[in-house]
Amino acid sequence: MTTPTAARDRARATGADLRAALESAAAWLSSNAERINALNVFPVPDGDTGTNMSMTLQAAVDSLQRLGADVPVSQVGQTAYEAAMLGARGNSGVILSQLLSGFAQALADAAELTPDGLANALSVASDVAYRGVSKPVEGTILTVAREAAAAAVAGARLGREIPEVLERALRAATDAVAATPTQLEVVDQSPVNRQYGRVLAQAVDDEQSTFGFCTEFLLRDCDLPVDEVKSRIDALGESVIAVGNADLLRVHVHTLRPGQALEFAVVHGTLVKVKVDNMQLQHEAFVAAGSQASSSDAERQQASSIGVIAVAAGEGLLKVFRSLGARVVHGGQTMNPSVQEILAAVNSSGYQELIILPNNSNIILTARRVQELTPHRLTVVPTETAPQGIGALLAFNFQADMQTNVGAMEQAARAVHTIEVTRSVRDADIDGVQVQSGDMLGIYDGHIVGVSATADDALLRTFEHAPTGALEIVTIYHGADATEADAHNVAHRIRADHPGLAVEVVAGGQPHYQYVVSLE
Amino acid sequence: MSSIGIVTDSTADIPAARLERYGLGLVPLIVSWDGQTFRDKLDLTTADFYLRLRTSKSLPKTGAPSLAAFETAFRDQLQAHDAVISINLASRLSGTYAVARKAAESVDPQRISVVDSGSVSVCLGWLAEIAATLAQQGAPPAEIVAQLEDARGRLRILALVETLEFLQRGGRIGRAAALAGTLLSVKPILSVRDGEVAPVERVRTMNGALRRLVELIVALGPLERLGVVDGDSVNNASEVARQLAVHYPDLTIDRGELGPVVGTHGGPGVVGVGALLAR
Repeated sequence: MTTPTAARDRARATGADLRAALESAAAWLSSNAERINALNVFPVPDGDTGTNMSMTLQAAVDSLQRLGADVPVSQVGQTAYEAAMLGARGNSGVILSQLLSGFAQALADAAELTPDGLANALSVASDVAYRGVSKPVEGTILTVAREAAAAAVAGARLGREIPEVLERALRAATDAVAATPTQLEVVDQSPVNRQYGRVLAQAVDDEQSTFGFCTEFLLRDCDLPVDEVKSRIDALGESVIAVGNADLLRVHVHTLRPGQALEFAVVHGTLVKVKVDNMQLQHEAFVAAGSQASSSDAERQQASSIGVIAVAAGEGLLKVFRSLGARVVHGGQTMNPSVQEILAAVNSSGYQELIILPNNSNIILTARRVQELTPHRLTVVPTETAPQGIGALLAFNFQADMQTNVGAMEQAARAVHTIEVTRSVRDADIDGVQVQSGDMLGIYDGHIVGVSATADDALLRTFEHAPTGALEIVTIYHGADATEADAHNVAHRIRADHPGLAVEVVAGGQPHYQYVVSLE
Repeated sequence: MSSIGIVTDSTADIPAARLERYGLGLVPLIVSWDGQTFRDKLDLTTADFYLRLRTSKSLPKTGAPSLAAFETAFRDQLQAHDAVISINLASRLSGTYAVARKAAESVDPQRISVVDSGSVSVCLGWLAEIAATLAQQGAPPAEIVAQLEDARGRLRILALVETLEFLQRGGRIGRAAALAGTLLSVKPILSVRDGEVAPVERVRTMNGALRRLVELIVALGPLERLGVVDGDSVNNASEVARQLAVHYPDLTIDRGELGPVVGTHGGPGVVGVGALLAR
């Protein structure tokens, strides 16, 4: 049995060492999550970067419990990555899972970690993370990851051993953080980035992961020799079996893209008896997000072949989305939903085609990850607030196809303006406004436009930014920290100032935000 | 050349002048309300109906014409014509078509054809007019029926309702139930095709809904016929007609008001647009 001791062998790290490193990183993240949350430059109460990253890494570490002590680094990394991918929450969680993905990909065949292997793994991790973000921004965790990897590579080339390679990576990470402008929120996770060098993980590349769908089929009258079928299917996944002959061939593969395997099959023979199982579902207990079985839902399901999934926080807002026919995933009090929670809603929805409304800019990446993990046809309409999501959902046409609906919903979401009112959790100088901790913030379409002493006042003053001539209806969703009476008062005042403008009050029940207002 | 009599039912909305011109027979459906029975549009006018609907605590019920009513109508037609074609309200929405078929069988199955319009209101009216026009031109019954079946496939109805309550209570809501129960106030837009009511969209404001109704019609492409009807909502209907006229300058837009029978199921505040797609 190996024991993780740095002094014992500085040129090799075992699977057990890797696991220990991940565990200590997760423990560190857990104790510092609140501090990292507080580093969010945008001074709002639900800046949950630390919590998201901590929970993502914790999911990875929890999955390692079922491994024995003597496993190769490839398996530790693969297991950790698969769990992180599903457990990823928020943009930061998704990026962390991407780092783990690349790391694992590089170490797919390794039993132990060498200095070169480590440096290479850090490089690949950085590459994969960059590729996973459609518009990578410098001065974020991506920059830190890249520079840490470069330093590690340099150290390995000089023949340094593992601890020193790590030290170099850590120093480069710290320097990268210090050199970046402070207005980028992700950059402020400097303590996390210092720990980055300690986070060693491996996972198998997406294309080769044994996570995915266990796909089996019988193929009659195949027009290719068995060997060629085997090598073609090999390119699609892992654990490939192809046995039999041209008359009857049995094929088995673990793949994230069962559709590709089946498409290949139909071209080359007659498909008989297809079986596709979600292997992750077979392993884990599934928490279905928001069970809503009811006869009216059954009717709604018949009404269109396309389902909609909406993420929302607040009992009232959840009810609004449900009443409009969406399945809801809880947005969470202080954290964002994980990839798995959204995936669960997709899989249990009963629909083959779905549209996802994240309703929060920090959930968009997570929703996009879900797209890659399921054979369902999914499209994410990138709504950033609940009002945008409701606007999009209202544009849903029961008789139109997916493409038409996505276009209409995106357009509708863009046409909605959102006002948010919340209490500032710290001092800040942002969007040209001086904010003190405890001030009521008025936020218009994601930008802080002013501070006030009260929530009502913040709402009224922020409303002055609205293009009232072009508005037809204002909907005020009052949160858990505001009263219905106050909301009606504000509505009354807006109506008085703008006769002819419809103003409605709805109980949203959302945490942290006294008011979330939709302007249409 | 034999002459053919055309019969339809009271749920057809046809401008009075054209009703006269074509000599169409109209068999009334029945409205029963607070113990009284009325023949649709005859014993109860549309204006009285909506007035009463807005203030009454009880809801009316509707019923198909009796077998006797259709038999009488068919016999009357056969006194002046050699054959009869009856075009009726969608069989999925009412038992009227079934009664008409029974009546045809009992009076003279060889000379009476019964066609299921799959539709209602202006669209049903157009089918009756097409039949009457072809009859006047000397077309035989079989050809008229074939033309009606072709036209029937090109009929579309989009309707904006003020509330889904009447459709729900009358049991005709169908899949449009998906539009119900929203916690936000919305105006539902639904479609009627082949006698099936289905959901289309929900719009937050009335003005938005009227605009959307127009957009959805325009998206249907070139049209042969266009009509705008309402249930006690003439201003909104006129606005829709005005906007549609801009897109279809060469079409006459038929106007009409939904009678008591249709009004019982749609409720007050309905704006409906019927279209016959060009071939």
